[in-house]
Amino acid sequence: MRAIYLGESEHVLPAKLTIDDLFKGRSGVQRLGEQWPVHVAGKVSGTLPDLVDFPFRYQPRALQLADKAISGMSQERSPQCGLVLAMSSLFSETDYLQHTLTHRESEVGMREVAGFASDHALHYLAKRWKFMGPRIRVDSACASGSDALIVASEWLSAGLVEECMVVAAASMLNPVGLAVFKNLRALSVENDLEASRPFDRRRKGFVMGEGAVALLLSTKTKSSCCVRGWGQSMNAHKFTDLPEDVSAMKQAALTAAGANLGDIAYTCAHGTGTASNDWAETRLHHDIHRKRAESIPISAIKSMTGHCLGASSLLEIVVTAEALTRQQAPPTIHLRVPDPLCDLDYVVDHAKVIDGDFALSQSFAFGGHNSAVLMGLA
Amino acid sequence: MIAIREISAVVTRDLGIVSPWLSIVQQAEDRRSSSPAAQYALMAASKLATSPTKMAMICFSGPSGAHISRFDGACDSQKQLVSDGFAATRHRKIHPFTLLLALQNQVPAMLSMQLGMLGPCTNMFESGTSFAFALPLIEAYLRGGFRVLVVMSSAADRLEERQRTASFRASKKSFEGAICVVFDRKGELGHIKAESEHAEWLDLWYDLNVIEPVLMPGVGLLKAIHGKAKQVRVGLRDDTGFESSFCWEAV
Repeated sequence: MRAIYLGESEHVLPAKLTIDDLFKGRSGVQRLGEQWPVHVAGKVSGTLPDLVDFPFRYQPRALQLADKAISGMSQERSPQCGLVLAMSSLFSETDYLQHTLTHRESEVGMREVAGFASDHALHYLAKRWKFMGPRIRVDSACASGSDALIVASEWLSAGLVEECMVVAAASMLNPVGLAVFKNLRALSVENDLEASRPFDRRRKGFVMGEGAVALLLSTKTKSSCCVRGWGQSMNAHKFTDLPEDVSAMKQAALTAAGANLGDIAYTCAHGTGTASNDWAETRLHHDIHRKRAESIPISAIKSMTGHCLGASSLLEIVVTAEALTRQQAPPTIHLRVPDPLCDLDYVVDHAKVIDGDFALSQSFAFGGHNSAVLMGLA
Repeated sequence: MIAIREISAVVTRDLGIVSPWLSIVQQAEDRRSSSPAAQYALMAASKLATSPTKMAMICFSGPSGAHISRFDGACDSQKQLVSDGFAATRHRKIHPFTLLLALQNQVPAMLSMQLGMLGPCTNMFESGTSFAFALPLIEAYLRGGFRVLVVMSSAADRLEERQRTASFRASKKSFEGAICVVFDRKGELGHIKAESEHAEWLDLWYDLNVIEPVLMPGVGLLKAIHGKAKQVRVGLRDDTGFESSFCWEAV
């Protein structure tokens, strides 16, 4: 695989968290209020700026988040830069849904929410930020960000582009989005700011987050960190649960790791804080690394951000790269009562020194998508 | 070389293409646990002569079926969804499967679950032009030793979707269905690539009286394979007017 360098990245995270905050164990989870179906979430603070020249009245929040992330980028890029957008269906955004429910029989009324439909989000971003190269929108639920980086890596590897912007954004942090996840019993309903507690015996589901990440990849501008490999697989199991047998997940991780498996110094876990994920991910780590398993730090940054859905996997790749650069693993916070079935080095509360050139980021999505990316120092 | 080994298509309207690999089917119903788009994809995949179980998969997923109407029952008497009482109790009237049906990766998920597909997979969101940019990924999966199943699926020709797209797609009728294409290193049905010097232009946007952008690459391949030209450039267009293309060449 041709060397694919990570360039500048920008992040719009809950409660204005920064990447540095994630290495300091700071939480972005806040209380929501009475009108919400759950009590706590990792919400992006403040009002997002309106989309410039957006041709429709209603603006998707996920698109606003993506736009804000790109707007923070300062690195110059070529006009032929590609764009891979990871953004899931926008169906749950409350204003859109309410407007559609009441105006669906009016063509004029539906024009106001047309920005939520079809491929308008992708082409809006490409036009607004002058990405004249190839463009594509990926949606594999919570693995979207990671899969988007894989598509971009293959474009770069094939020489289709020399630069590619990967943008992952997600916002289902609205009353409807929370309700549909709550009804699936996937969310924690605790009124506790420490409810996002991956690998803790007291965990009761994930805490919703939202956010966006923009990351510039390049084959021509060198940097300290590279994409070194990737792997994907499907579980062929159930839509929402991970299987007891982790062999498909293992296949993705081993493909990503390739010949560098023995040199992996850190794993950024999917770490949602559901029992199913914690157990499967722990088994997977044992299966992959065997005797080395307990000596390779693994941590879950969703303990700080909540689960930012499709954006989380790209964020975790950025954090994995940062961990290699700093030679430090970020912590898992709120892990006070270890689950006896989870017996790894989860880097509790404080960042931990690591020593090595390679690190793995893993994502597992509703629908059974597994996606793993190996990062390496250049 | 990205060669076409096999094609299987099910569509709900006559597209004027005579092909042994194309069937016209009844419109699929909205069911509680599987979307019409997923049903079409399963129908098309089940007609393949080669088992897709060990293949990699790239899906181009269009509208999967009705889901807005699934929220009707949770609205109050004023047709308001998120109003007093929603957070406390009324949200429970939204069926838990609503989320699964609304997720755009339902098609690859269903194919994987129903056919036991464990290989690598990427799902692309509601776009026809994206197919042209997926060629490097198809090549990467082939390089990894997989045959590649590309699935285009859409359930766009039903009331809810016509309402959603009326403001920007009003002049064209739509259709539904799924098209599965199996890519390999060798195949009798020609091969595809980004560029070709003497290709004849095929613009389906103008050639057909019905349109569904997500299905157009597959329709273009069927037309090319059954046409007389040795090289065809298939023009693709999205709802925003953005265009891309790819080339097909006969063996």
